[in-house]
Amino acid sequence: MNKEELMKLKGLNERSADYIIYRRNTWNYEAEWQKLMKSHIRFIPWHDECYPKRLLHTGHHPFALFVLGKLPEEEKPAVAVIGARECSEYGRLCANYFGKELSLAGVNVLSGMAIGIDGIAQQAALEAGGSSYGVLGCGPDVCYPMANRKLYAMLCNKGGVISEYGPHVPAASWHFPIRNRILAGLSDIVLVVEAKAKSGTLITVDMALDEGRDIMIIPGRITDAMSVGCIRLWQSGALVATNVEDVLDVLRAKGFSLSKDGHSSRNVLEQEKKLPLESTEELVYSGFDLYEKSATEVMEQTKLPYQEFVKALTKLELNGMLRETGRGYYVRDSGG
Amino acid sequence: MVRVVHSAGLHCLSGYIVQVEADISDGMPGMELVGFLGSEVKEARERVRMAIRNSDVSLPVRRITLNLSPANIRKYGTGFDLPMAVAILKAMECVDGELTEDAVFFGELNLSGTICAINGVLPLVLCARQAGFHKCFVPKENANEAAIVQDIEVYPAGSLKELIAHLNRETMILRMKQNKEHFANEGNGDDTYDLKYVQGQPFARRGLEIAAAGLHNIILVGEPGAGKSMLSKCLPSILPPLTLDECLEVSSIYSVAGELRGDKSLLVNRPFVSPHHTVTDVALIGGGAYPKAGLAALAHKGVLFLDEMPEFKREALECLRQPLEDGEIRISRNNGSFRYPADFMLVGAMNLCPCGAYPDRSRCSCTQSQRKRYLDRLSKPLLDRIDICIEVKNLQYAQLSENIIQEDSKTVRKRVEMAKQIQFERFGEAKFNASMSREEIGQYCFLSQTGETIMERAFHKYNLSARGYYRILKVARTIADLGNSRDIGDEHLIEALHFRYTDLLNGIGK
Repeated sequence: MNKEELMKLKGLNERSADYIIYRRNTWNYEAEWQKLMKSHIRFIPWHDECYPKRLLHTGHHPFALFVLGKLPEEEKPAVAVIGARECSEYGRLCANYFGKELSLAGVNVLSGMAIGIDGIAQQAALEAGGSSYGVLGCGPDVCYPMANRKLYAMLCNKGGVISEYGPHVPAASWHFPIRNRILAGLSDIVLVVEAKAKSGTLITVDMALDEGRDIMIIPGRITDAMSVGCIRLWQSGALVATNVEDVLDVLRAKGFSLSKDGHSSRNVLEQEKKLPLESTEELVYSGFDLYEKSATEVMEQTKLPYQEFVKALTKLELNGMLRETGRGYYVRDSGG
Repeated sequence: MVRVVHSAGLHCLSGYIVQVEADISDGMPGMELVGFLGSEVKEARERVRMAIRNSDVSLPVRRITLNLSPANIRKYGTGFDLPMAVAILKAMECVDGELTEDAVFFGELNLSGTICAINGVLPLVLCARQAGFHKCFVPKENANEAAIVQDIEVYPAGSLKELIAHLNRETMILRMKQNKEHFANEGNGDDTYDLKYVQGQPFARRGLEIAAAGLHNIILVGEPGAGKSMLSKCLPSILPPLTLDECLEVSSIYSVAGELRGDKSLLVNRPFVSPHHTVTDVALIGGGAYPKAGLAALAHKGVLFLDEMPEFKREALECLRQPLEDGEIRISRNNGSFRYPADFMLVGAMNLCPCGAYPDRSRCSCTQSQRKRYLDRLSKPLLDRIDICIEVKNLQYAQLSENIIQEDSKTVRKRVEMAKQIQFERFGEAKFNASMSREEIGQYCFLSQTGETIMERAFHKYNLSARGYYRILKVARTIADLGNSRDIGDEHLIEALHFRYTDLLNGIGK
């Protein structure tokens, strides 16, 4: 079409027509394709047969995906494990547990490769030998956040990194809510580990609900700011996951065959480390929790004299049973 | 004919003797000043002339030449007014020269002939004594300060007229008595800040005691209002007092800075300097074309307290790295290198996030990157010099209202002083564990077999640097001293590990 023809179309003025012609003349298809090949990025438009079917059936699927690594297998169930960046130790433990157990049960773990819950769940899934897929808010060849570069490398090798943005596109704050629709579209279940009352996680949940996905949450204490979002979702009808079996049951109901044999899933608490401890150490350890607690507080609870308490505390930290999160605040180290 | 009177000038904190020569000869009437003089010294011409005239002496209509030698050192300060006047009077034969022999003169004159106070009298008099002078004439206001120095007669002069009468043996000025009462002064001044008012905080109290005993650098972290500043301000009440030599050294710095006046003639307690967080780097370490002592020097042998540490300008904080390492400040200018002692104990107080409520997530909504940015304002190399880090926790209402009688500062100070005694005996000088050299650490910080195992594990677990490793040993040594133990036991080491400076960003990015 030439300029006159373009301008006859509805919605195009002279400027846009000029731009279309300009791009047509300057766009070097061959060079752009070479660029993608060089960085091993696959370009998958929606009419491609590789384009994920789950995503295709949603109303707002992107025109094309840029993929580094694999795409999630169609026949395998996919669960998006998402949650707050600023997670508590409890969230860390849960993300670690569900990531690992889901991947052992043969489920693809999807998430946004963010700091906090997302990254922890994906890391755990990959470390357990399963595969995991990250949906990014930047080009697939950009590692954002940089703190997760180790996870990014693992995802590229053992799973995949998926984005609707082309190579070299930097992360921008408005990309993330939009990319959440892809994350929701690719998964069968969205599992929310921890979320504050106002959280980006809830955007993903909204989008997942639009597409008819199941929402599951992990309950926390009602007093805990990090669990308020989860509990609200629960109140509005989300399912509760206290165990990986809860998630698997929902997947089975959707028609996925997940065999129980070969692997028996464990309880969350079985994850905690157990080392033989002396009696005072046991006492001090029992005073701490998966939520941050101040040493002063626990010392008052245990009623131990200062010297003994400090000795037990420091020994527990050296053994890796406790971890200091801020000066004077400790949590049980979940190893996540 | 040339007449000579002696005085002294200051270079940083040490004095040097200056000869003030006066000559009256024929020629164009006037007064000529030479000898590499700063502008305030040049201005003395008018002050001296009027002061002499207003002391009922009329200057001759002849040429007066004054020379301050050595002429290769720049003279500054107003202390040369008096010796210049005396030299002129001597050259005029208005005063008897005999009493000016073996004496040094310091003082600023005003037009009416009154002698005003000057800065730095203490180091000047110390220098005069060292140079072998036996008498000094100082402004009345500075007399208390000068009288601290032993083996030199101190004459407080109120006005030039008085001095002329004295030198002519008409009305004698009374000699100042040796100022001894200050040495006996054991009190530590302010008791609004006493540990007995601090409720709870067992870790912070203990950490503070250890820091005071070994003069270790310490950081207090906690929520706003938890009591970080209160605890820090209690520090002077438990610090061991200065030794006599330290007193003179510290008082000299204050004297030069013009902070010793009137009753406050000798500092017996360790200084506690607490600059505002808008302080500039120059104010902190000292500066100027002829550098003056900064706040870091004023905190010598005492405490430099930085409240809200991350709010300080980065350049200002980074300036502290060198004095923290060397215990002195070196400032180089094209007219020479200036050194000020600055062997202070750094005490910092800070929150864990910009809003201060972290880790209480129901109140704190700071993101990780905000926290990181906040904490990153303190550089790693600076934090690497912090020996002890303690948490100050907000109290519950029950604790506040309990009113349990807490240990007071006096009791704590006793333990601290005992530990100080042990340290002084070990090093054979007034030195604290915090300033142990590597060799001394090797010599005095032995670990038992089990101690080695613990240390090895901690080294890997906490990713300690070499400096961090030695720091823990130093703190362990202080804890052992507080327990009056010859060897560092496992419990001492474990406690030192507990108080070590930890990465406050722990957990971020994991």
